[in-house]
Amino acid sequence: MLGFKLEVMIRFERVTKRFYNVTALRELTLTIERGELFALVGPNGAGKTTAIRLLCGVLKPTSGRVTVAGMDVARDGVRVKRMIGYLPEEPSLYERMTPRQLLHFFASLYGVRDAEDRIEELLALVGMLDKADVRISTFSKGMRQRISIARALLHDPEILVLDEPTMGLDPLTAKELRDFVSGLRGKKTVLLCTHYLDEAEQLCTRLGILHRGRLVAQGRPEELKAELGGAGRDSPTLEEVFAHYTRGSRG
Amino acid sequence: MRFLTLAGKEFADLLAERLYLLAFLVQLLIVVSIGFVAMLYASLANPEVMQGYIPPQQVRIGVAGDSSLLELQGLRSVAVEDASRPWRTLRERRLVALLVVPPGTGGKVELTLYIDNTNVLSGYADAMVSRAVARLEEDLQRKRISELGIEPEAVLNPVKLRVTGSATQPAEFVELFYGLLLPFILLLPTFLAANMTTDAIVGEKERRTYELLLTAPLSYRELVLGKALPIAGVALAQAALWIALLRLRGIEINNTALLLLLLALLDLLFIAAGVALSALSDSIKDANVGVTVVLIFSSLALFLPVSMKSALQELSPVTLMARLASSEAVYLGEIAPGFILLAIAAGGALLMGEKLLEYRENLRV
Amino acid sequence: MSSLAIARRELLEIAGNRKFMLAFGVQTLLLLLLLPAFGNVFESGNLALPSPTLQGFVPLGVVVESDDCDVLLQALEANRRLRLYRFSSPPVEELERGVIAGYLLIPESYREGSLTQLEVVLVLGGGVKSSVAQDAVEESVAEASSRIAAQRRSELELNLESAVSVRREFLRQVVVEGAGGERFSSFFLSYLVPLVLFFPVFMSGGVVLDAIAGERERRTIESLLGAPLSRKSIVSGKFLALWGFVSAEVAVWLLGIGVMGIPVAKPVEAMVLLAGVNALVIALAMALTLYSRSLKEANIALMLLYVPLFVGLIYALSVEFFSPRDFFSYIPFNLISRAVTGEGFSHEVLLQVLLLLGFGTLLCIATAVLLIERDDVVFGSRPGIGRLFSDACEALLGAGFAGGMALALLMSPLVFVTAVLVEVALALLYTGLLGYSAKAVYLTVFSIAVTEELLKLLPLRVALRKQRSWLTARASAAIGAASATGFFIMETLAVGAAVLVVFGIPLTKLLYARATTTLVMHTLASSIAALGLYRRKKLGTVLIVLAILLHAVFNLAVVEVVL
Repeated sequence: MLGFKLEVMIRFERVTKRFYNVTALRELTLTIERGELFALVGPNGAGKTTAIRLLCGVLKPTSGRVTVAGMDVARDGVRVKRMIGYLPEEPSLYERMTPRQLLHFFASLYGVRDAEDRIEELLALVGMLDKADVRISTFSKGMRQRISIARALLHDPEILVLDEPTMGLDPLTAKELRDFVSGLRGKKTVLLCTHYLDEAEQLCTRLGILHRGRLVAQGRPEELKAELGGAGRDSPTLEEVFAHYTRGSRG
Repeated sequence: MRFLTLAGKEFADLLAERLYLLAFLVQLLIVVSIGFVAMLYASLANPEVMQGYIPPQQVRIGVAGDSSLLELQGLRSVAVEDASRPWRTLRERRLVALLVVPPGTGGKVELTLYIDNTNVLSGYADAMVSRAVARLEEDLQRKRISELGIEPEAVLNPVKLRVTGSATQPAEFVELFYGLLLPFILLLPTFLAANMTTDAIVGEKERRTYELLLTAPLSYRELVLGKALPIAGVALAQAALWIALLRLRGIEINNTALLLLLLALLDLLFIAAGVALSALSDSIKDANVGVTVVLIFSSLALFLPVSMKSALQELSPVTLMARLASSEAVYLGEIAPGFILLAIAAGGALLMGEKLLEYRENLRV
Repeated sequence: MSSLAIARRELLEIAGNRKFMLAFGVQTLLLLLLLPAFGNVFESGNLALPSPTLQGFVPLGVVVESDDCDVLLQALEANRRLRLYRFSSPPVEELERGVIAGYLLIPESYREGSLTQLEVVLVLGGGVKSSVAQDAVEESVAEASSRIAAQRRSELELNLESAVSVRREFLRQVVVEGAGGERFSSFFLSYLVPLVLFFPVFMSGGVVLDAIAGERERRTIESLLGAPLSRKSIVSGKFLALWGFVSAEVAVWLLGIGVMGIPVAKPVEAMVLLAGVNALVIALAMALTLYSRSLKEANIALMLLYVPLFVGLIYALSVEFFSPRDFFSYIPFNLISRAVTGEGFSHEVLLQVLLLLGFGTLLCIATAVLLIERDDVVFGSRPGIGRLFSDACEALLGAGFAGGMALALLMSPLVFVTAVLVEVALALLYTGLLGYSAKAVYLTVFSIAVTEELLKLLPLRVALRKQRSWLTARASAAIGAASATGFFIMETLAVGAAVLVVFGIPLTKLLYARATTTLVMHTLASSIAALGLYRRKKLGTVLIVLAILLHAVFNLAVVEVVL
């Protein structure tokens, strides 16, 4: 076990979210502890992005509660948001700005101290120092993702929420990103949504399978595999586990 | 104050938008030409004003019959022999009007006046003839009354008005300008503000950066303020510029500070409408349709020439604008109710808009 | 036919869009509610529009020293323009401050019951409202005066029938009777009704934007292009749908207007004309939207189209109302106005206008088709105007000799406008430096010759740059002549219109006069200049100078004749 204080960072308590006639999440109950890297997997439309948005305070639950470090997101939204760094699926950035301007803007919003140094540090980290003063509108997807990461880490948040971070990236950049995320385990609390089961297995401490708005399975990858079948060489692959739990759906 | 950061970014966004630059230039054009338009209207509504611009000799009036009956002073009266085909005569002799005096004396005289009202000068000609007829009437009546030994004026024109001091601008111009044109000009930036607001919010939604803003430690109130402030500022600055420009052209505009305060409140009201529309729209197209409807309704409510209950009219911001701009001084007690009502409406609307935005939380799912 | 299939799909999409349908419904409702109200307001034919903002516009002080002035006071209170403030003594200080525009003094000697002449004094302040104050007070005083006069007359048992009366007849119907017997002023009919009927076109911008730029933005255009249809049919399909939609809206409005009892003299002709104008505007909007790079740019472009169009519409309708001439009825807006009022409408003019509109529409659609065939237009990195122009030139010149002459003709509007701008600038410069002197006139005349000859050579320059095999001396001269002819046509259109309106010389006479003189000169001079450009070297320069001199001499001769 890792020798830090076990503390619940994120808690979903029977969270339901309804949009007009569509129920995106049903009674989601989930706990993520400090330092964990929790991977949320599921077919398209399962509700992963909704869960993330509820956590980040972008949406409010129809019923149930989402708490972060004991604080209710719906009530203490502003304080909670300071603790969260969000990397959305689409790296939507302000096209008109340069990376430096963008980071300055968000630094100001998040109240980051010594913003100048921090921005330099992060730009170097994501390898975008040479493009720091070029308009974002000219960037490729990979470059935007890098800026997006820099932005997410800017205020040194306790919690990182990553929505399909390696989707659409070239293999090299994707590997760099995975290595980086892997390094965060234990230091930060990470919620990772992904389509790639191998990525999930490689990176996570625990895993949850979301299907049609319901959390149908959760636990460590080995545990899930063991539950389903034999051990050792007969142990099923994660794909098989996934298929089992998401049976009867076509994502 | 985090919303100031947001306001800074929003302001930069506004300036970068070429469309707003175009709107600015269009307004400039309108402001510059408004003086000319007002004069034109005034001269059309009141033929007397035209007198200053058109030498009376240009107004040709044909007279068939005894022309000595009327003193058509200062007009080119052309003698016409045959009045059997009046319209033809009008066209052939290039007359503005044709007056037919029937032969015969004594008793009642019925004159017929044929007017070519497609000619801009016809109103003037008509007025001249009417005046001449009235003069003739008066003369006849005056004779009859003095025959009775009574002072004629006391019966014909009992109340006489003596005027001291003189008027500067023609009344029609003043009424048109301060009553309609000036409020219109000053409201243009305000109308634009509604559009700017929807663009600012719905535009971010479309570009997906809205979600990003929501994850930042910013409350909905700060979000709305951060967007509203630069827009209101820009709208107000434009209005101030138009006032300055009009003054430069020699038009008197008073109580600038109060006017700007009024406009600031109106700006906030329209921005609030923009916020509410943004909450209800999924795309810029929808938002624009909504803004158009709001603007049409507002224009009608403000400018429709329908008699409203006077009490309500006193509170209308446009009435206040007309009064503030045209009066050197005002009784504050008279204008205060309108201001207060507007302030309450603006504040309330902003609050409602913000709540609506928070409640609707619609994003591209 | 694939165009129809696309058209149907587009229409369904528009109809399915709830927001559009809602907007359309709201607009129609507003129209139906407002039009009758406005119609009655203008019934008197008088343009005085009472603006609600003018209520209580004039703050007037009243000092009442008399005790027998009820009639006057009543008249003052009933005047909506006035806001009365009672003072016990002359409010000089308030007048000075400007809180009141003036004050009316009703002296003790003012007794309505007596049989003497009464006098009241109005003291005006220096403010801007003084004229309105005077106007309003004069109005109330006149009213009081006539009431008192009537009183006194009946007291004295005087019977003063008016000896003179005036009966008025108007050339143009001031008031028109509607079906239900309501009366509508001609201003309303010839101005407001046509104006309203154009609203659907102006509000169609959003639909056009969505159909083209919106699709590009949403990337759905890619699936359309992948389908087995020609790009041409995409354009024609969308055009049909948009045109049909807008025209349907106009037809509904026209019906609604008729149902409300507003008399439209020639509804069928009006509808046809409106459909024609709609077609042109929509085709133009489509071409502009296609060329724009993004939704935002398209927005701006359409704004640049609609705003001047709207201003032009208002101006044209004003001209038609205040001083209509048959010549102006060639402007579609004016013709529609005439179709509504029924006055001065000519079916020949209708046909000609329809032809012109149709031609314009086809031109725009052709442009749109040419644009959509280009991949760089559809998929971004939109080519600049220069690029398009260059490509068009290539295409024309590739067609050989005839293409070269066509190019020269097509470029003539551009050449003409540039020439006019340069000439005006130079003329201003000369008069600025030399005043209105003979020197300035001669300089201007000479400069005109130089400018025009050089500019007319533009098409040839383009052709020479592209180096075509068929470009011989004779071909060059022909291109020069074609350029000159195009220029002549432009000049005639511009000048001819002005001359017709100002001097009333009929078009045919003018054309004949110009054709036998100016056209000959232009073609001759340009041919020589063209040969000069082709030859280059010393002989070439000499030829160009010769052409300029020829033009200058001709111009001078004209000036001498005129002056």
